[in-house]
Amino acid sequence: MSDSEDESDIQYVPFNQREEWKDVVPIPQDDGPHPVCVIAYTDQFSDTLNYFRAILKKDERSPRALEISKEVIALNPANYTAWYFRRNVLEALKSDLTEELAYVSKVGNSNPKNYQIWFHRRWVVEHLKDYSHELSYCAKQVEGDSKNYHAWAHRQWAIQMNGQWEGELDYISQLLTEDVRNNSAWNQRYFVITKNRAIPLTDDVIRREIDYAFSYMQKAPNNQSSWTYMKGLFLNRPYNSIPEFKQRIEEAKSKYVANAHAATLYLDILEKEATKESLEAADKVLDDLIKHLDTLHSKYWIWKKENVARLMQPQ
Amino acid sequence: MGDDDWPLILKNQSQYLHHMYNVLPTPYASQDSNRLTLLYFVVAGLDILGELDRVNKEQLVSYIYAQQVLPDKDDPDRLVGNCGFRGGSFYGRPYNPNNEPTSAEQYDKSHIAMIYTALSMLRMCGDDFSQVQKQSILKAIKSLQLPDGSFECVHGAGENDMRFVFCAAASCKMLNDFSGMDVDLAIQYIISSQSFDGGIGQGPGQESHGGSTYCAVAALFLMGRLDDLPRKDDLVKWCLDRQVSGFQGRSGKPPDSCYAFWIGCTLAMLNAYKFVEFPLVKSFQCSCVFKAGGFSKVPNAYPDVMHTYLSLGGLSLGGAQGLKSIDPALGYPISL
Repeated sequence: MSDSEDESDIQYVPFNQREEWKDVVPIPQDDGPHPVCVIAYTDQFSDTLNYFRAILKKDERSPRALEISKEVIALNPANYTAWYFRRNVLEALKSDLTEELAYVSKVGNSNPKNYQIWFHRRWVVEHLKDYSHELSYCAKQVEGDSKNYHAWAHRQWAIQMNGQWEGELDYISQLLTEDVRNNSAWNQRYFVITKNRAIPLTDDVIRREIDYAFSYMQKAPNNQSSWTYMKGLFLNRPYNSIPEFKQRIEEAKSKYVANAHAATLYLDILEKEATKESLEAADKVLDDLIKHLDTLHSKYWIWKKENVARLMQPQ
Repeated sequence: MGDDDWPLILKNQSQYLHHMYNVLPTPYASQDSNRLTLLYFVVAGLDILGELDRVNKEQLVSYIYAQQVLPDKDDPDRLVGNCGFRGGSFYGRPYNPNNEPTSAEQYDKSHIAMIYTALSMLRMCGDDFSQVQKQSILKAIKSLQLPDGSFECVHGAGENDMRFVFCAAASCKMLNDFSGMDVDLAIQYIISSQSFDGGIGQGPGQESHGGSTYCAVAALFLMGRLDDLPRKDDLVKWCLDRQVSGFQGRSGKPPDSCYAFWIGCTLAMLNAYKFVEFPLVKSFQCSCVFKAGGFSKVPNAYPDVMHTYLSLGGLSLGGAQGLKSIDPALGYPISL
């Protein structure tokens, strides 16, 4: 089939009018006498599935089997049986998987959140042993929907399979420049700095990342992502491993007076410090959160305040 | 619709679900292969409204059992990975509600989400599981587990992620037998999927998401291993931060009615639902009510059965009137 041909371009012809299908006895669906959640299938849908069932029963791995799997997929791209069968036929026919990659890209473009399509794509790419198109394909999906979960997961998979770390941090910066609130991009940055063995998490790298987060935070201080990222940098190290960090956050909290995120991060630093002074300061931050900074979560902050009070009591 | 129309809202949901129970409109054809999950949302929706007694449960149970993929009648270990329940009748087997023995066929494959939804519906109908092929299903579930601890959904033929870790754990719990899973390996997968922000993604490195967070926490809860999860405080905070009015599924995204369930149940399991501002949740959910019945994902959109049940479930967690309580870990209404 040529690239420009599309399932929707081809006029549907009932199977009993197709010469090359004359030998096949269609198998209807059997839902019994009292079916529930009956789907109002179109005639085309029922007809196509009736003939597909017949091919499945025979496990016929032929060119026409490949064609009908395409038609079934066009009607229901989530039909995992059709995709599985298609893979078997592709292998039996020793089909050109470069063509298959083009096909799965086209179907993927129309159904960017379909699990079966992304899974099939992985299968094709693994068999081709060619990961060279994956980053651009994922970028294209992300262009259409910057938070497409499948695209990001596939991107992480491709990078890990191919070791294509180079350029990824720049790509993320590009996305964050377009939309600093893109949490998926922030997650991807964390993925790169923690999974890429070529970047050991030294104090210098952490400082660089803190500066990075601050620069983007300033564009949208009320967006949580950059603050969460900063906190995440200290997942496996104490806050005082970067001594100036506490003060930087304290200053940010003073600068962005109505900002719950700055206060929340500062609170976490104080709580983890766990001295008499820091807990007293924490108690004051909690009052601010409860009274005006984050009233939506006041019940939670009140509970936190009780916890801090317990910690402050003499042993 | 305002919340003071509450009794009318419930009445419309009931009508909508009874209608869907009979016929799903043509656009649902693209979900033909997971029809059993659609049935689950309808059945659970009717149950939560106290309306399940209005359907013919015997016929419903028959239909569910007819979707069971049976072990091969001569060699129960042949194609045992296919055992469980089908997504629907699209494979083309003759209707077999009494589960008369059959030969296994390669393309007649179970899907782990259908095992979960089938067993759940049987439970809701008060069935005693006497026709469930327990041993074959446990073997099938075991065959779906991958070296990283996650589960694929269809044997040798589907993707793997946190959704299916949940389906496996919930199914084993309902069968009262965890020999279908390497529990410790599954827990490793869950723990390594906890993000730097405290929430949990579909797999290691992936963005924290309300759906995968629910699946992970519920799986741990059902395996009795919730305490294995580190940073529970961060997780609670992450969940609470998802409330913006209603709940969002990820940081920075607009609220979506189904997250009142995914995030709500997670908070309930962590004993932290008390921190939710429920009136705001109820308001948002009501703004997603479709006038002719059903809930949609966001205001002014078409409804679907999934958002309908999950909205009702999310409302039940906050104590909305006229709804049964749900089991937050298993996901469906508790039988009295």
